[in-house]
Amino acid sequence: MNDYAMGLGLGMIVALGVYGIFALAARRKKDGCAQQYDERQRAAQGKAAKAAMYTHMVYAGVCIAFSAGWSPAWLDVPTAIFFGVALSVGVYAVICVLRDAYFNISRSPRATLILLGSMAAAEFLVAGRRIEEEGLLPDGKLRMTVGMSLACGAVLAVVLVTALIKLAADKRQEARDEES
Amino acid sequence: MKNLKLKSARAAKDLSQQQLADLVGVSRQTVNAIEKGDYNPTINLCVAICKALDKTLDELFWE
Repeated sequence: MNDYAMGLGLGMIVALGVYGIFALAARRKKDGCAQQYDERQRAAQGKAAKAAMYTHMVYAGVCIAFSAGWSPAWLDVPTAIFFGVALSVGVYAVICVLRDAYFNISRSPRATLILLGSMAAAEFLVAGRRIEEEGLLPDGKLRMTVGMSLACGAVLAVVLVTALIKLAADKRQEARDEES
Repeated sequence: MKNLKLKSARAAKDLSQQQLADLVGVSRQTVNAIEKGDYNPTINLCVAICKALDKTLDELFWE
């Protein structure tokens, strides 16, 4: 095993460990129940999954049209595939946030938001570093080394912003509902 | 259609939406959605809400 592989493995272990610590902090057990989604949330997640699937199908159609010569491709194939996955995951997460199906009953939103923000910042830092080293479009195409970090950071940032706006709106709505 | 009977039964017990949600084991947004008529609960959830509010199914969910 060479130094690069060892460094890669160690980096992944550290990342998983940091994520695990934040994820444990985000859990808040209520009445002995661990993480749990109620029936309305599960139904909303099902609809979000359907929307994500259709999004991915449309994206795949667009990619096929581009690859058939419609326009010069500016993504290499692995990056294009990853963008499709990131887009679908983003659609799923945003719809879950908007339908109040992202945070389960026992999870602390604050810790989850901190986790999302930290991960987005880390992804953008890595992307920035890669762009400094390789450039944004080496050989006229966005490559996996930059594209993956950009896509992950963008998805996390969009979900974070959506969650912040939704939580603020929910607080105002809750106050209005209790008054009426 | 809004479920005003549920809302008034909850208010009669002096429970907030969050408190009722905790008793029943759902999120506050689910209780809010049921009261606003945006979500039709399953029979199991209806029964749980009735037990929490000491009401019958007819009193809370029948039109």
